Amino acid sequence: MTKEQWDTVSSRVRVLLNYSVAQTNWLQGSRMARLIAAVPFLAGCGKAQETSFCHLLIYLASLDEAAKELFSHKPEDDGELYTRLAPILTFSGGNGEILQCCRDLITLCMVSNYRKDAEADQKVGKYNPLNAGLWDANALIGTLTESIEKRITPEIANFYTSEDALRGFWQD
Amino acid sequence: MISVVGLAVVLGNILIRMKYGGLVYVLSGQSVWLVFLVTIPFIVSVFVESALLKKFQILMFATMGSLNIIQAYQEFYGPGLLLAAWLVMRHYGYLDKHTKTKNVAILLLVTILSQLSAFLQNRAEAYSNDGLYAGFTTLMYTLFLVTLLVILWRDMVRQQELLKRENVSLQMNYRKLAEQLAELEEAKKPYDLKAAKISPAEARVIEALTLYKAGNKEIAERLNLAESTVKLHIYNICNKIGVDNRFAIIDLCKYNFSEG
Repeated sequence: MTKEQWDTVSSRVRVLLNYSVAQTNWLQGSRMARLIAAVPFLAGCGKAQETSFCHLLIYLASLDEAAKELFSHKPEDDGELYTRLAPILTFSGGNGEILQCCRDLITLCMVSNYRKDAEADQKVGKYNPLNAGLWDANALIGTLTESIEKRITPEIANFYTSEDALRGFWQD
Repeated sequence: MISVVGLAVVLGNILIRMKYGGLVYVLSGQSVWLVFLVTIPFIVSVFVESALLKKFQILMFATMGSLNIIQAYQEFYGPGLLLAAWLVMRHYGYLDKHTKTKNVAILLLVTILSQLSAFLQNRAEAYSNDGLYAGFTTLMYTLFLVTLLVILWRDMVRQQELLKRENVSLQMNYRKLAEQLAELEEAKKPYDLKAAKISPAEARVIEALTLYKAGNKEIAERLNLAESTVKLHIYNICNKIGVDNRFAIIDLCKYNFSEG
């Protein structure tokens, strides 16, 4: 994803969400936002710009107070690791290996985030599949990390690495 | 070029024959007149462009080559002249279609003529049993020579085709780049804001828009304006410029505020 591609996609999303200067500054520094926007371009998907725009919009909307609850983890997301993230992990065409690596990176961040927040979630009674005993964080992180290391390319690593994901900062 | 070489050969031949045998020797020299005969159509073609003339040139070479083979199958004059006919055919593009068929036909012609010539000559000399063998040997030598020439020729042609393709590709790239450059030059012209009656306040909003490509809230914060004011400015700018969204404004005015 080039600088021009990022500018095009992010500026349209910012206009649509009517971002303030502070929100714009945060977005420009967000590695996760850049990764999500970059995946369709990195994998050479069909309608890369449109997909990138939609995924970035969903990601940013899911962070907003108005939509946060809609995208939070629910018991029906427990069955399959990628279910919760399906709205930002659906692509048209593209290189399968690159897509899998990016899916795993984003999912690794999500699982790491669950692990980081497990204690706080328990205190406030927020649903967390790790607290429910349905997911084994260490096993999942091991599997995802291994899968990422097998597939990661320098182009993907420019945007995001498994080290970034393991920090578990979803809004970073 | 062929005309000049042909005339030089004829002249050289005449001078040598004059020196060693006089005028009668010159006039009786078959090769002198044959080369001269072949040269004539090439001389004419310098002044006249005609498809008939081209065919005549080929026919001259082919006829003389065939006659030479029948006359002396062991010599290379005949195959050489037929090879010349083949080269001229190729030069004029007569081998572009049905290439294989035409090549096979020419080889077949050489074969039949060599065999016939060898058979007739050896029969006349009462060596009828050796006739076909001698013809076959000549044919083999001819085929060897032709194969060698074809291989060399093919390599040359391949190289030429590769160069041609590279040349075409370079020309296309050059054209594309020239077009892109022209487009860029065209696009780099700043939009005439005065002609569109854009006010100074609206111009400031356009400047912020082209710089930050932002929403109303961000523009308002950066320009210390109310969000509703920015919204109104953008609405008015769209109407004045004749577009329906802010990204069109950015596209039109992106060179108005750039450095240089």
